[in-house]
Amino acid sequence: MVRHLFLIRRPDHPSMEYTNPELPEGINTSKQNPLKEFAILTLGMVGVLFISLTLLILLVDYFADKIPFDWERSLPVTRFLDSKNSEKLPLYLEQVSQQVIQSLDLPESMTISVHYVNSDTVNAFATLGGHIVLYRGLLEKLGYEDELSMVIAHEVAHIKYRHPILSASHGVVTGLVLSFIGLSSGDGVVSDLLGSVGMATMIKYSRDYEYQADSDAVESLIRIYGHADGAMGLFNIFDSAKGDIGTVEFLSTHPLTKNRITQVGTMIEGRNILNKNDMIPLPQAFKDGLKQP
Amino acid sequence: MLVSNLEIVPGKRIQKHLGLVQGSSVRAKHVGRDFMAGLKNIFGGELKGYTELLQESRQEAYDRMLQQAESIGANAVLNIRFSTSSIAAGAAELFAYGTAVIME
Repeated sequence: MVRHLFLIRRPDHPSMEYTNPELPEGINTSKQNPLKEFAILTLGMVGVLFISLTLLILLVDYFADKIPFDWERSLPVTRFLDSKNSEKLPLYLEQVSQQVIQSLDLPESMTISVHYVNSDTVNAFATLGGHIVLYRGLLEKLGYEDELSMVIAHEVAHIKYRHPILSASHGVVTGLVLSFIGLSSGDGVVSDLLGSVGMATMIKYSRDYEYQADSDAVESLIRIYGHADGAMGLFNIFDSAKGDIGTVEFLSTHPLTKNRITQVGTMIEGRNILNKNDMIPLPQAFKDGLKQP
Repeated sequence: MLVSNLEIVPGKRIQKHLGLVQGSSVRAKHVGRDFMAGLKNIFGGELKGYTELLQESRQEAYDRMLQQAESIGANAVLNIRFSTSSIAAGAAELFAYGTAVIME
């Protein structure tokens, strides 16, 4: 019996070969080092953002300046003050403030309200609507009326140049631009980077404002007392209180005390008004009043 | 290069099977386009920016697939398929694959 052996063969593919050759790399992936692209993108983004924010802020400055002070005044800013610790202004503080405000030649429409807060915070600030807040913590560190006048004059100068509303406008514009770009990128790390760039832009302005306020405050001191020892006295207090060692000016809102001293030094140099030991001590009654719990 | 969705081409004989070739591309549009698309989302209609994005992506993936096929000496790619997936917000991957062959 003969058995037939059938060979299974596809009739249409009688001699088809099957192979799997190795594919060359680099068609679906990039041969370029990703760090190169990263560097270009990061630098480009930071640069473009920095320039556009700076330009935008300049534009906003132009309009923010036109906002009437009355309108700013009507904002309910005082609502945010710590009302529990906010106290009636001591008479002496009121007198010194008036003296300083008069020396600064404010526009007629501008009114300043000085607030005193009974708290340990070593701080004083100026905010929207011409409000100045002085904390007991800072006042306790002062020894002379000149230094107190310097603090008040610095804050009043901020208001004179409308720094609070300008800063607020910068914040709004920067926030808008960053959220616009950050949201669409949808990446937390990228948003953080963009945020830092925005901060750096605003801080630059913030520091310029501090120098401007210092400069006017010194002029005010010279007008009142005939010298600017109070400014140096105040900066020395800051210097011993904090110690700026290790802080980098680029990343802090306030300039280094050392640089502020240099600026004031340049201002009074050659005007023959450096008159040591001529400062008026704070009245004992005022100092005692501060210490009360 | 013959490119087809068919598994076999009637009347032609496949001499050699060279295996899978594939191309992929992940792309995103710039912030402005994303913003426009976001606005268009409110009113409805064609998101032209994203149509363009996917078209570019598809073309790139297709070209890369053909590049692979060429590099291994194929003269046809059969049974081509496309697939897509979303990688990140506003970015899409287009993937094209097929079988590289040498045909008579």
